[in-house]
Amino acid sequence: MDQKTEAEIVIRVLKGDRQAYALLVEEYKTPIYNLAYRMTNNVEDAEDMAQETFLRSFRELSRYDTNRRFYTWLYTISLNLIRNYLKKTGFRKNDSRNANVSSDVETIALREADDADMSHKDREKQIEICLQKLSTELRELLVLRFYQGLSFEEIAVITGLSQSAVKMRVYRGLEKLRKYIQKM
Amino acid sequence: MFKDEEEKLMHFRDLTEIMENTGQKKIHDNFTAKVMSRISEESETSRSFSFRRLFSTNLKFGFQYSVTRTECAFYFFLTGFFYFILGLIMMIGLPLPAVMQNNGWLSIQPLFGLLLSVELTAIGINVYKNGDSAFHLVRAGTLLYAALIILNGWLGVLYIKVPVVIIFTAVFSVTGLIIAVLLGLAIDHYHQETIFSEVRG
Repeated sequence: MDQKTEAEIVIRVLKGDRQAYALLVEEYKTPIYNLAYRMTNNVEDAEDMAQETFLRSFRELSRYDTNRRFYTWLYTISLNLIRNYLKKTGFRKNDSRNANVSSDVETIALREADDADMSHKDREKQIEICLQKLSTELRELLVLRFYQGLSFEEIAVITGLSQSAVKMRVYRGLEKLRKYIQKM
Repeated sequence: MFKDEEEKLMHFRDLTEIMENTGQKKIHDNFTAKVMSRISEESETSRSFSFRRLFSTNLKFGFQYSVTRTECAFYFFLTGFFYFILGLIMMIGLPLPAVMQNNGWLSIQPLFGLLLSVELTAIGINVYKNGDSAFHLVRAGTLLYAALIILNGWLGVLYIKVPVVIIFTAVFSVTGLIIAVLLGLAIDHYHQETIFSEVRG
């Protein structure tokens, strides 16, 4: 969906055609849900976060600047919700999740002693586990860049950081991710 | 500098490729229907007041960019400070002609200025501390501020019979209302601060 179409849909919604908003939900539900899933590592929480993101954006639609891509705005809303959610509930969850992660890690480490023999699926799982150990800020950037496939420029718009700051943090995140994987 | 960073990222190609090729999780088909039904439920129960709608115009004025929580709070603090200084000046006492010295309306003006100052500062604190969740209250507070300005101006016109003072009161009230509109526009342009706002360049 291009920017012009998005802007037209938003105008229709603001004029009272509420059902037109379904087009935007349909278009962006998968990336928003996946972002929430990668951040919370929980299917139910991810769905709640995604629903909340679309509800919040609907409520605040009059504030949406049509010169900006809709999805960047949506991502900003989503990240704020996720951040708040993790701050409120994530601390304890992370503790228990990290405990699970440790046992998962040991299982994988025992099962797959040699890196070279690791299957692609196992590597994928390993990265997912180690990703949860990263700080929320670094994890977000890695998810946006690599799982969501956004450009550094788009991430800079979403997060309000400069492009070089995004690159630096992504680099730092990858470094940490590598360290965690090597420790496994 | 950028090229250097990209080269650094190339060292992690093995990790990034796996992440890039990981499939997207599918969400169930009735997700959109669920969101839309929640929107319908919400829309029926609440209709939020918007200054932008009230003062809707095709003219290009106001805030070009989104206003962050800190900026929005700052505008309220600044306006509150303005009324605080105004209230203090009036309290210390400007020389008034003898005919006006017993005027009830004039005697409450310092207190009125301080009252507005307290109200606007409280709104500013509310915005700064609670952000998004405070905005219904903040809108109501801004409307109250506008209502107090109108009421005060109206009372002033009723109580003071001196034409010059009436003009002065009218100008003062209109200025107050313009400030109220600008604060309202700031609220309408409010956009959540991103999680990285504190390190934004």
